[in-house]
Amino acid sequence: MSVYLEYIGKFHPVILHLPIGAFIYTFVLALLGHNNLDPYKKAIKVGMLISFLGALLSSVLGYLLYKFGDYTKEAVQNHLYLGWSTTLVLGIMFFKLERICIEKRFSYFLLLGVILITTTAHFGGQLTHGEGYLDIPKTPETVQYKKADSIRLYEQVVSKIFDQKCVSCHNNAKKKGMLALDRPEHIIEGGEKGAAIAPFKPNKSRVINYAQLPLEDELHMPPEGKLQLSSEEIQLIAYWIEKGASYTNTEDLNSLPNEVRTSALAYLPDELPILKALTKKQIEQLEQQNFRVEFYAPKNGLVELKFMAIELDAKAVRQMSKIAEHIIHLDLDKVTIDESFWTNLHRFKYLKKLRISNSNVQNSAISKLLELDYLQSLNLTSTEINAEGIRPLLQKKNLEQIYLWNSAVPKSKQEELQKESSIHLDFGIFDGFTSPQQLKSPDLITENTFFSDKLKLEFYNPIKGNEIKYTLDGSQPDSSSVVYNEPIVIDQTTTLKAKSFKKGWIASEAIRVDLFKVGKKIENYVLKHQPAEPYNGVSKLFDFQEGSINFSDGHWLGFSGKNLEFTTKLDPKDHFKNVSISCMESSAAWILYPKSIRVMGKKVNSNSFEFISKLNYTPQKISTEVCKKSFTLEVDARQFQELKVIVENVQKLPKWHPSAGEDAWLFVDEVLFW
Amino acid sequence: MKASHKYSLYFFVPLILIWGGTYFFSGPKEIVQTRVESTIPQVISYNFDVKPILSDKCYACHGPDAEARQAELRLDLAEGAFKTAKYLSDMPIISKGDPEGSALIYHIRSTDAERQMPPPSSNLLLSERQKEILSKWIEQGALWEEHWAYQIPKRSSPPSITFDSWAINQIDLFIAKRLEVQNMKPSAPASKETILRRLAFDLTGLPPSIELMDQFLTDSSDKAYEKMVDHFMSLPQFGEHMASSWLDVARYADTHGYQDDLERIMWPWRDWVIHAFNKNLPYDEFISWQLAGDLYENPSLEMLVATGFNRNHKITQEGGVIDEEYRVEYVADRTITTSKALMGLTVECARCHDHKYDAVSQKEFFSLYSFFDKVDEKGRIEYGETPSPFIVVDKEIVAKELTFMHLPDSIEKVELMVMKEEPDIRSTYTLKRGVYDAPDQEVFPATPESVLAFDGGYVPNRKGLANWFFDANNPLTSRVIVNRYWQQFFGRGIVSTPDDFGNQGARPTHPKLLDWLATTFRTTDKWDSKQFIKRLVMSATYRQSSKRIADYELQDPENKYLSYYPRQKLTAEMVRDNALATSGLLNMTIGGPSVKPHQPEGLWEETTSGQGLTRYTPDTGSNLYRRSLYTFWKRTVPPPNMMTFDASSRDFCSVERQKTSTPLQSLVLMNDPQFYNAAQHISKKIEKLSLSNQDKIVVLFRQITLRKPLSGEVEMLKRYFDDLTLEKDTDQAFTNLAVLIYNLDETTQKS
Amino acid sequence: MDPLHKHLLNENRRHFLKKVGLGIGGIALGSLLDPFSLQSKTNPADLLYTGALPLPHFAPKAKRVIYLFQSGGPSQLDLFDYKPLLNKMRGQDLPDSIRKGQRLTGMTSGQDRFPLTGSVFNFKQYGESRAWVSEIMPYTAKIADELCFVKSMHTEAINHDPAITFFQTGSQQSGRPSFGSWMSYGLGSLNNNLPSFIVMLSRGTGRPNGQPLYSRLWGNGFLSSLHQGVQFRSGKDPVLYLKNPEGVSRKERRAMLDYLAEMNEIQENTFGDPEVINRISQYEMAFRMQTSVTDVMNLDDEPDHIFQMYGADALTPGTFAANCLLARRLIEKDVRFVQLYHMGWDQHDNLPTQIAKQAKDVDQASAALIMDLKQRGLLEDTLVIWGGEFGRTNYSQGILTETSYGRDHHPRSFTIFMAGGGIKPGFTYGETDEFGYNVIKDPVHVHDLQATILNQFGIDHTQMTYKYQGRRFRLTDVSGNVIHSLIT
Repeated sequence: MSVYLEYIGKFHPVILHLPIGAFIYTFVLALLGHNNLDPYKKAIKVGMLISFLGALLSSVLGYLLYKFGDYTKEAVQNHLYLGWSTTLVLGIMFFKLERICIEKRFSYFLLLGVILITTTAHFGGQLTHGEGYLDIPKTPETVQYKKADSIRLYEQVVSKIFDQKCVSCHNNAKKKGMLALDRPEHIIEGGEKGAAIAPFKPNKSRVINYAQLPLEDELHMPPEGKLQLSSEEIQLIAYWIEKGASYTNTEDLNSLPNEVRTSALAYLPDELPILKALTKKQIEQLEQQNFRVEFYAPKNGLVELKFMAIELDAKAVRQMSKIAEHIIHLDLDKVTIDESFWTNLHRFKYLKKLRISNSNVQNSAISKLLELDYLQSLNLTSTEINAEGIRPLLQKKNLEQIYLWNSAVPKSKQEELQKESSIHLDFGIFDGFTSPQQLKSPDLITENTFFSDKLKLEFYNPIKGNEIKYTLDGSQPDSSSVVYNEPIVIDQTTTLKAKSFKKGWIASEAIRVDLFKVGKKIENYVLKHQPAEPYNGVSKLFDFQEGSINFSDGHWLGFSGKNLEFTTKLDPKDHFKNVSISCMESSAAWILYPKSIRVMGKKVNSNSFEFISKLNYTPQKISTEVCKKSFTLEVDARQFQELKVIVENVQKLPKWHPSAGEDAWLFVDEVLFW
Repeated sequence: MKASHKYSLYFFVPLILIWGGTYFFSGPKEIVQTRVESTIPQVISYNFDVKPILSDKCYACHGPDAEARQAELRLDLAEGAFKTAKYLSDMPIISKGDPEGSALIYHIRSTDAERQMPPPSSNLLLSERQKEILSKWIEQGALWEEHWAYQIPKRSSPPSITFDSWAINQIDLFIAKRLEVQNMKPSAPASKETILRRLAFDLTGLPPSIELMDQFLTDSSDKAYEKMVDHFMSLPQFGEHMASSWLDVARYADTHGYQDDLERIMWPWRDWVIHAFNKNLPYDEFISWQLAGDLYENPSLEMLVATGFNRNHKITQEGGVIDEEYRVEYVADRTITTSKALMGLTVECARCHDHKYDAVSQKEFFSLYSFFDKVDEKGRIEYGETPSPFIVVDKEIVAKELTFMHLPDSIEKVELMVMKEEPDIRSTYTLKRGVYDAPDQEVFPATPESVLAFDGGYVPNRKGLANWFFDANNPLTSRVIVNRYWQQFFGRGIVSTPDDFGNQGARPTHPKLLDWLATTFRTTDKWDSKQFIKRLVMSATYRQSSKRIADYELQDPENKYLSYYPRQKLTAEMVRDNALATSGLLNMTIGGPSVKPHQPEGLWEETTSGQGLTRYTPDTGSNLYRRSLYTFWKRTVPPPNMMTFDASSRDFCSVERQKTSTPLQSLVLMNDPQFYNAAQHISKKIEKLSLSNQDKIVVLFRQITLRKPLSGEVEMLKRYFDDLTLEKDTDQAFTNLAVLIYNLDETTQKS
Repeated sequence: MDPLHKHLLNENRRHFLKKVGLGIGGIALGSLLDPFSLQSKTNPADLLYTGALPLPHFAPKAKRVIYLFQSGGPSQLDLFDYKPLLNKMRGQDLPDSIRKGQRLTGMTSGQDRFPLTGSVFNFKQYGESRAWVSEIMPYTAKIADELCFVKSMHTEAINHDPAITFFQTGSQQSGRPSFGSWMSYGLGSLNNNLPSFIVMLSRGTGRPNGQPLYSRLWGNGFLSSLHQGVQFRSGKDPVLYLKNPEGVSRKERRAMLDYLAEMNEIQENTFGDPEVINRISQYEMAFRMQTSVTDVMNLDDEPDHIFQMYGADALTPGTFAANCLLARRLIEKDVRFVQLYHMGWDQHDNLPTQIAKQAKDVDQASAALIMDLKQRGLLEDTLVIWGGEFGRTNYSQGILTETSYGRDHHPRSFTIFMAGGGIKPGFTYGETDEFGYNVIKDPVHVHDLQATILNQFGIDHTQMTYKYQGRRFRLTDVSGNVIHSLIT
């Protein structure tokens, strides 16, 4: 039930206009017939009826709205009582119309009615549109914004350094060494060892000497472990003492030596105007006009504005201009700006940073920027501004930086413009930063370098406009070689060479990949010793994928202190003459080449292995380089039904190795029969 | 001319009068805040109103931590708070009944930066309301109470209420009483469809089947709901669901963590947790076996497996680390996990100095630490090494003693980490600043005094500790676990900070109910979890509709007093399991080794160092569709779609998960192949039905949301379906429709 | 109650008024019926997420960060900190007076000798600031006058994982929010179609299998997961699950989202759960991200001279150079915090060959990024930081030969450089002793650097806190001082 009442109550704001209209109508009628009401009596009667009924109905609805809406009693009190009393008065006027009309008291009742209706309406209006609705708009009080040119060395700099670095131990409550540095009178008092400061003589002042003692010296201040004084801070204190260590007088900023001046500036607060913060409503209106509002600093009500859409129309400019003096940074990048922006520019009094890059700003508008006397940084990149357009700004006070990269200022004029002005003009990166670049060589995806019948070669080429040219006959690829656009299929041993080409770039280094057609792809094998984790997975020996020089790239088998020994059965139609084994050496990772490789064979009719061939390997020099080597032995497959290959591990790290005596690692990747 | 002049008199004079009048007495009257200003309670309670303020704003410099204490003032103890302040001519810090005469009030009211407390440099501020509370408390005699959580739970009989027709069991009486006091009323029960889906998810982590839903809808007996409760609790899925939240607490993972993060075998311990919950192992044994299974006299193999709980922490294999430094980390991790999981105290804050807010000294931290310091283990382990101590489990052992373990036949035997006590392997010292190489004074097994002294009665080892936890006088154990069970079913504990029952933790919204539940679980239920949980889900509070009541929005915005059932997001596991279950892809096999569902490729290769687990190869066949609690968990690169849904990272013990909604979650639901695959699968099945498209849509909707769609919804889905069929064939249209329904807010919520 | 009315009654929490198309009449009627309806915000989805801090504490000098994190610990003695004495004393033992019993990693504590070794690369001074740069960083040398070198960095962590975690989260223990997450929490995001904290990884060619990185290094810790770092990957899906499944067009996805919002709308009436509105806006954001992320990753609109500037690597997606170019494009789109990780700087052995390749990966691209930002007027309020998690020792680890040596981890002194964002250009701060072992002047701790960076964003690092488990956590934990001398 309450939901329906609540709903009906919502019609209060509609119905309440009825009695007002009707009563005003009656009021006017009464005025017209003020000395002779008769001709209007009927109309007045109707008017009063509507007024009364309207008032009664709207009071009831109002009560419902109050009861179920979320209004508290205090807010609605005045409006409620006045509402009922108006209805009462109108009721009296209507029912007693005959009597009051005659004795001309009607006009007084009219007067009372008008007063009541207007006051009720006023309070109602307050409820709807918020309390400050009728306030006369106050101009925001502003504090004059001045650029600092003088500095009180003690108060603004030295006292801050003492507070940050010394007062935690040297204060009135905890007077280490009986010295307090928190107030002028305490500093003058000095400590148990005498005065802390000797005016005009920094190198005689204990504050400076103790700070410059070596860190280990227990007299060194601030003590080790505490936050130390930086060299700039010591220099600032020394300069203050040199000028007489006064606690009151101010120095002219420009008189300070350059070094001291820059570090002193860091202590000066950023002088900014103090404005009344923007109201929630103003921010919402800005957001509705596609502005992003960011607060600049809490106490001074300044904001940064960025226009998030592309079209800054007059309406948005008007909205922005209303609060123009609050804006300290304005970002209109990639925005087409309406003419009205430039005519309203003078309102942006405190604008420090303006970014109108990629916008439609015209040269004619640039001179208007002179009105912004606090403008510090102007971004005109990628606009049509040319040399003449920018010239008016070259002598502008306070402006420190103009970005003109990719603008219409020709290269020839850039030097000359910069000479005319102390403002830093940035025309983009200096020439000679980059010389023509060489492309990276092509990236072959196919990992196999050996195959038994056919192999598909594929390149990964994500780069636009980059052509890969290749040769299969071992000749050096050049701009006339075949262009790669789909995978190449080869069926016999080939040497692939390939280079990348791109307009404006130096061709890449060539890559060379030797692809061997191999007699046999080993399917069955039996391994004697298991490799150590995680360098296991015996299939890697025969997967035709060559490993890189990184032992943990997943292609290598690793044996710690043990040999690689395996047997494989042969197929009668195998016809290969060599076996080659590729190994790795990286002494820092305890990986060494094998001592020897032996191949044994079991003849077709016998069941024992006999020696076929052996290869010994003794390293010439100690090298810490990481490298790969392929060892090949001749084996005539035809007479044997089974082969055994033993790759002998060095077992222990030799004497010259820093961890001599430890187990050596043997790393093997591919075993090939060809 | 004259008449017109008269007109103006009549017309303008009143208007000016009115104008002046309204302007004069309207005055700057503020439209009073429509929000009810939170008033100050009549009777100020120390535990509920004063201590949270003192702890948060004063204990940092005037609390239990001796080193950090200023002006020798200690406000956490009665003697400290009621002594006199010398520098203020012996004015008492707190003088009972006389706020103006209390130094505390003088300081908090003072505006002089030197005197003001808390000092501006501390960045802490006291609001006017808080100052008001402090002074009113002193005015009312400054009654001092022990910390609520350290007092043994008192069992008060459930209160009587006016509309008791609503209540079903004692829990409802407490809830209704609290609502009544705030003149609020509880809600009517939820619809049958809603309540069954909610119950199924809460007890099994899976939606009910359509058949079960139909059976429930047609069963009009008043025992219908209870039958469902018993049914769900009897399913093995119940154990799986309870286990998945325990894995967060135990920081379970399938890899060692730290730098190389290689694989470890811990899934058999997970099988035990599922088995324990299904077997309804009493909670005290469930905890004691995990804490000290190896210290029982001739412990069963199952008890040994249970002790795997304390070996789930991260273990490093990084070359060049200092062994002892990491061993100390492991012992500290066990201490912190046990205290957070079992007694809800943040003891880790007392590792480097005395706890700044609770009464836990650094000495007490290392006394608790000494329980876990007696294990012969290494800080750094080699690749592929199972960190000792461990037990070996093979086929016969499983067949004989560990029948719950699902050892697949492809695996010969597994080495499982367990706890093994070596009483005199090393003595334990406090460590200065908690650093491994700065031992200070020797300590012996003991527990924080403020909770319960570890005096004579207990054996000084983990078995003694287990008994101490379940001692009738231990105030925390039962409260912490009932609070966590409450959180599992109502989304938010009676104490909203399940991991902090100390001074900085939240206060219970229903203290009497919490104590009643704690004592009931211990005495009446004798730690029988299923019985306890059944009482929760049978309560009218649990069965309320989850329709938000707008009127109470101002009074109780977070629904703390449960005037309606709090709607919650499904957990990460439930979101995926729901998609698999409703689409029919779910593989219900229980237990066994972890599995690898689909995952975007390249994730492991990108961030790992080339050694160890660098390649993620998803499983094939039905392993892809196992429940999410079996998903392989690599600590440094956890499953991305589960992390997006706020799963815990399993680096350390976590008893509560975040509840956020981010754009990344929408991307997972829309584009993750697993979800798209589920949508395709269900749409193929539906498409084959010999029904009209409209009926198929109703079946599809109901299959996923377990709810019959409203006419408006069907009409809208039909419109969408028709738009789709303009350019797509019907099964592709059904797939898109299924994707829409899977992305419905309702599908990913437990309402 | 007819649906039309229901719309009007709750319209301040709903954003379909425009879609339902009631037109001006409807709005007017609405205002009469329910006076408050027009004042409230209509569409939460378009709202920017404003940070937890109502305002910056004081006037900020920077708005965005690009953190070029060189993971593994680049050797400062071979890049920026020139120590001729080490070349003179090559092979002699590190004097104990210098080492002062400092804790070593397990890898070198076993060594009995600590042979000093200078750099095989020669150094020169560049620009008006006379900054020392080694020959393997030629492009960085060209822009020395834009850079601020901090040579006196120091940290306590000695192993990779704790050291990187310390730099990113302010504590060696894992579990705390990362730098980017604190910024997103504090200041909110500047745009509404890209995450405010983006991370990109690249592998070093010097040591392709260097130290690993983990997703928790850019995690949100105990902050809401709205602030987690989102990793952009060079593969098919730049953001996990970004692309629609095969055969689902963007138009279809828009239609699905409209219907989804409508259906959820009905749902919201039955439960009145405000969270539904929030989730609907998350879907809208995800939809916008699908285009905005693919657009920003698509480099086709970059002119060729830009690729020449960043170097040939910039043409291949996934390299450090390509990531730098992407970082500039993200900054132009007002992403708050872009973090690049370049792995492979852990040169324990074979340092000269490896570090030369690592330097070649990053030198030209880092310098080009800084100059590209400058010429676009973005460097002023974008802070670029270049550095690793610790330095490397002045003595050789393993075998010291004529041409090759290795260096172990060295937390006591190392070098980073910064540019833009209100930091003093052309300036060198802090000094190490002539052995390059200890800091002797103006030390800068990791927390000091973090405090100074936050200061540039108008954040007082002691006041940006988050209360978790009863404690007010800070990025700078319990210490950290702003180094004012680094600020213009």
